[in-house]
Amino acid sequence: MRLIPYGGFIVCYYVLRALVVTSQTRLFSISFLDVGQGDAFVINIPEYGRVMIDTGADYQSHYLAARKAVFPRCDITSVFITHYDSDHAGGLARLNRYCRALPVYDTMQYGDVVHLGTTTKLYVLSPPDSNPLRTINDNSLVFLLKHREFEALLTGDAGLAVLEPVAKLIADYKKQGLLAGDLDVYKLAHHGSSYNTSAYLLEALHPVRCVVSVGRNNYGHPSSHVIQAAVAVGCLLHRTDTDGTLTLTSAL
Amino acid sequence: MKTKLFVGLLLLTFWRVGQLVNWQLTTFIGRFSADRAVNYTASEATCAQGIYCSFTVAAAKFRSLASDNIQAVLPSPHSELVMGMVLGENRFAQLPKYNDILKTVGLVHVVVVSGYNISLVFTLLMRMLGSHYKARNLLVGLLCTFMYSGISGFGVPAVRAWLMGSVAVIFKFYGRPVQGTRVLMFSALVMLCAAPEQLFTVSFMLSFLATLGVMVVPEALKVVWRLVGIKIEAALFEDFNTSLSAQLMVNPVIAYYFGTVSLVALIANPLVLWVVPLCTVVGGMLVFFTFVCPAVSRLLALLLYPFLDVFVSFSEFFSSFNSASLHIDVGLYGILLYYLILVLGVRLARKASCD
Repeated sequence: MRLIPYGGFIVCYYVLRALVVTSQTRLFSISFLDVGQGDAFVINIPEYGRVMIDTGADYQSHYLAARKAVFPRCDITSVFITHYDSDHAGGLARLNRYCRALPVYDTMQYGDVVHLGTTTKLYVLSPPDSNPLRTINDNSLVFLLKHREFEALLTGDAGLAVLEPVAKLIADYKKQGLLAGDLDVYKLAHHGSSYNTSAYLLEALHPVRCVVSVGRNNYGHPSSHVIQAAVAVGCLLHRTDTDGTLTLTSAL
Repeated sequence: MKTKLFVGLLLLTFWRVGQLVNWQLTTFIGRFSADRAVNYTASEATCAQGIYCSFTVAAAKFRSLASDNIQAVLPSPHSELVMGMVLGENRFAQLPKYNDILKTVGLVHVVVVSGYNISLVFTLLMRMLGSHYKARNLLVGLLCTFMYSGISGFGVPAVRAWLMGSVAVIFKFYGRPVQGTRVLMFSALVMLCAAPEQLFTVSFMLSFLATLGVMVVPEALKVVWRLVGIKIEAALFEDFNTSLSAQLMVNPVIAYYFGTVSLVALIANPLVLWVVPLCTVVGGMLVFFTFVCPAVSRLLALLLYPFLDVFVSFSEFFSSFNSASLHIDVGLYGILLYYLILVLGVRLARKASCD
């Protein structure tokens, strides 16, 4: 008899949690998780499930991602790793332990397109080929996420030498009418480092929002020059270290 | 006889500590001030071979394996909480954000093996074995709880709790009365004789001060509440009173070493601590079944998760306040003055209570 209140609490908890989570997962959304110095993004696609791009340095991404699901379900359907630096892939082992047999995509190149349901596509814009001579950062997978009219450029740690051709590609897509307009989100490459983003690049991309996924670090990330350049092109700046997790939800 | 034993232990402790700090008052204070963030791991540093070393290495391997198993059935930070509550395994370094939350809310003490765990294991064993008034049962119980404190890594709170519990049950076995503060002092002296460097560890200070606070301060606080006209019958208020007592004792040390004091700990502790006994018991079963029957462990995880989530949600909620913690820079003399005032206050309140 003493266990009845506990049983009642457990049932009420799961019912409420299911209601909350269901209401949250009905719409397309992208969350730039506040995982300290590192990248981890969760994309919720109602008809497909949730996809993760990078996992941050430690358990932090799993902690934040698990809060969006009803236990014991792990509704992360797949993980894309831009490159295997610890601040991008350090949390993968923990995630794999909990979400068994999780498909991990890490070897792709320019031209690959991943269909995430019927309305969402992930275009791989870089690297152009598997060249071992490029640095690990320049070999980062660069993604253009497209959901209806929403477009986001997710750049990993790719350097300027990689991103300037990517900006030209984006400009071509715009001319061809493949992109709806300006980029909705540009994730500043390499946590806002001055070696990865220039004023020219920002002017060429002309994004509506700039996201800096950054935490406490000794590298001087993000660079004040990059921040000034982003503000100068009229980009709405969001820093995960000061503003926390950013979630953008589509009305459609 | 008891007094002689105490004096003997006290002298031995002074000698051992004196050996360590090259017994001079100035050196002692100098060392105390300088080693603000020292975390002695002398036992680990000197551990090269022998039974003790083999045991600690095997225990660490077991904790690591069990932690991996728990991580397979529970997400973060719920799995880390269970590891801390059941095994004393601290993996919060991998979760810096939640680690900060626990510090801000003053709930770090939950994720260590301490008195509650030791008494729980002892009680369970006695229920299985029968009466604890049989010498054989008592010995088995003490040995098993010692092994458990070893598996949890011989942390200061676990060893303190084991020593205090052992003395208490042995005294009860022989029909002698037990006085909590004396048992606490005895445990402190034994631990310092064995490893005097512990005197300078934060965990030693916090463990003993919190226990002393819970033993001594609540009665004095009740006098204060009576004077200001607050009724103290409610169970939640009892929890609040106990939490406040522990906080009053440990906060100066926390402020001295970490430069910050939690302002929400007094409210957060009574609101979330009710889930800890439940999580420890079911978490213990979960650990066991992850090894013998993973299917059962998944079912237990399903039952345990809502309670862990209450803990996580409350701690996140309380840490979200802008003034959840206060930055304080306090010196050694400031701490000594604080404790002097606290001791005088407790004595006066107790005297008023007796009158």
